[in-house]
Amino acid sequence: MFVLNRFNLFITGLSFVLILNGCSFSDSSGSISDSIGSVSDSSSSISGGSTKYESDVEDYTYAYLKSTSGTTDYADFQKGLSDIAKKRGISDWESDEHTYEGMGKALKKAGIEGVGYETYKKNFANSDTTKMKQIQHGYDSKD
Amino acid sequence: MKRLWTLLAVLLCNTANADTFQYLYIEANEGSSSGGHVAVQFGDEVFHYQFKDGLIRLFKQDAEGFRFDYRVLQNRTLHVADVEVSAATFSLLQDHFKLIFWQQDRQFKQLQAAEKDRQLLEWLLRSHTALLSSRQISGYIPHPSPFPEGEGIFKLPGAGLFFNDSDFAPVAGQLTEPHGGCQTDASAKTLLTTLRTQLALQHGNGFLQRRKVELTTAIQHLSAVTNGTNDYRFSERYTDLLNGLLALRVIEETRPLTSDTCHTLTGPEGHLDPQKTERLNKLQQQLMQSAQNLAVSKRPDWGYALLVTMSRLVALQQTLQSGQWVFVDDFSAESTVIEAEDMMRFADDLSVQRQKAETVWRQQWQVLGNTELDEQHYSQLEVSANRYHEWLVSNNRQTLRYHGEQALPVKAINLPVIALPEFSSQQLQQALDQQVSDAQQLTQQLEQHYAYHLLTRNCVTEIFHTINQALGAETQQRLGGVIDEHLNIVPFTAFAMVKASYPVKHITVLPSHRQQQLAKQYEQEFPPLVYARESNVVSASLYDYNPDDAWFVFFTDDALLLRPVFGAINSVAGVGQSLFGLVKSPFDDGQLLATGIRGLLMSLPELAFINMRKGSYKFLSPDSASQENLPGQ
Repeated sequence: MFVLNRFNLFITGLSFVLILNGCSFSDSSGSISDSIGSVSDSSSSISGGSTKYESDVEDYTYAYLKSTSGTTDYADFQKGLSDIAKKRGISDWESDEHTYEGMGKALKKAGIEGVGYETYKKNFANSDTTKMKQIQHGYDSKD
Repeated sequence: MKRLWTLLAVLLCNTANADTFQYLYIEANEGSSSGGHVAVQFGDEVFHYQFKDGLIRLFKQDAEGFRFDYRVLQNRTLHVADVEVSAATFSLLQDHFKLIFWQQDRQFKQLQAAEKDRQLLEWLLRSHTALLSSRQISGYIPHPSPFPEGEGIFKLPGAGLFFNDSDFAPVAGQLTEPHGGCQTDASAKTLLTTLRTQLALQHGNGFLQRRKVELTTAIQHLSAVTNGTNDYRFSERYTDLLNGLLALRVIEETRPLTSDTCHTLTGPEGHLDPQKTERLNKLQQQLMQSAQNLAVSKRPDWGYALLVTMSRLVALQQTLQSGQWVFVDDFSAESTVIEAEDMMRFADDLSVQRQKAETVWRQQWQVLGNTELDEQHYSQLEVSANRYHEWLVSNNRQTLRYHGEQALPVKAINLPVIALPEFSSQQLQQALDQQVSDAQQLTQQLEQHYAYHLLTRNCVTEIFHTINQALGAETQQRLGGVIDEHLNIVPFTAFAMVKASYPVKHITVLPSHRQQQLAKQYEQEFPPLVYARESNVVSASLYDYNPDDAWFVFFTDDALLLRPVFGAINSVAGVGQSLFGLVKSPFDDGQLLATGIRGLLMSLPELAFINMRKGSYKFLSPDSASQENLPGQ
């Protein structure tokens, strides 16, 4: 009887531990949904289109602005942008207006105004007037 | 009473301008998240915490893919609670999850970069003397690659589109070149000569030479010491500059693609009519402009982008010249490969996927004439073409690259020693010491914030922690209740807490793939017969043995009363696999033994009426899943 009780206790304890172990682990090779036949494959992530890309740029830029104190490392920022664009099938993100629209929206969301805004706008756009206009458009379009 | 008033206030407040987010509880199964899993969904994005390398991290996934992964492939039932909140609360929560995701992403990338810096500096220090003696900065004379064969931690993504490792081998012929049918000499010459001419017209005749000197000088004067505000690290700078140098070399030498970089989709399909040809011509002009812009760009990784753009330009030129589709191979070297044995075993499932790949490819090129083609659309076309081509060649090759297509090609080579930073041994040692300390500090910080703990920091606690953090003192007011992350650590009970505490408008249960199919069979056939047949893996028509699942005999998710009995038999199967694995362990590194032990552990809770074994599906595609079982339903 004692042995049986110990066994029951063991099973209950083990079950509890397994039930508690409620975390999915991330496979470095990528999600199952990246597979060649899955619905959520790379082509469908590309097909999210420009809206998704712009939204990612906005979120990334906003997070970057919120977590950067002091001098902004623009090269590091641009590397992050390249990673986002890469997932969407865009190599030349500098020629994509959605990149700058997204940045503009993020600047507005972060509440950056005045000289601070103008400095970011100029640096993000590398002083290119067309890109600065795109940033401004994104900024103005954000509620 | 107080709680009733709060809920009433939340509901009244939310009705005016309501929005809904979903709290998802995913039932347990064998494998990862054996105790179940939780996630939150805002719109079409799902956020969930996953365990990775001892840490718990926030991941973002599109809702469709998430549900397909868990509900169909992992065969788990999903419980979805629609939580109705005000639009402002919805935004606060969504923005906060996004913020945390991107901040974490940046932190983990910083650690990765610091680790790469350390490895590069260690290598430079080891090889310093030898490298100094053989270094020739100017020109592109191949140097002995001091990276030991196979070490390959530093790769140049994109450079493999135009170069082989053998191009930089110390002795000609030391490394064998890969063989393939990608012959693009004429196309590359035409295309890259045009690009070279355009660059010369815009920036003068000596442009390429000037740019090369500029890059080489930048490499020579690279600083390995970080100043605290610099997140763009030494190893990244070095590899980016090298990629720039190689991209310029491609233009200078009008290099063709390497012989295994592209493939042709032969046959009647993909015929280019005048409309499609016009679209491709326009895209080519657009990419040519991009190439010219990238050659003078100030973005740090312009070299990689230029290599990719040039490779696509060459493929497009080849397509236009030959009248047959030519695409750059976009599979990464780390692609998952299905071997012949699995291809035969899962022939039915895979044939559905093959059919789908063909259909998608045909649909995409057929509509090409009707839509504007930009780089993003071309990437989509390239992925579809690669996927279809992979199925075509897999017939002869008897292997299939299943995972690993990239939206942008990444074909890489090992780091070629064509230009080196000028460091003394002392500088290298100093920089290395600092990097070691930096990496340690970053690791400690990440561990402090994100170390996984079974009871105090898991996927459940972190979801509630993030929600509470997002709404702060207003959590009670905005959600009608505060769920304490310290007290709610189990997925199953946490879901009950959500139902009881938050303004849940509706609960939906999305049965797992097998349960869905089973319900249909119960409707159409004699139920006891269905139960008897489908209760075990031997006679089941809804499940083929998946080698990722440990051995088991009975499904226990629909057998509450018999669960302990079935569990006992499943445990015996686990013991059997473990013993077989023990015998086989010298030949498979103990993999089968580990699977057997896992199976045994997963079957034991069934003795206590807790369901674990459900089986999973390795190669099921949405097309072979029932309509009702599709993600998003």
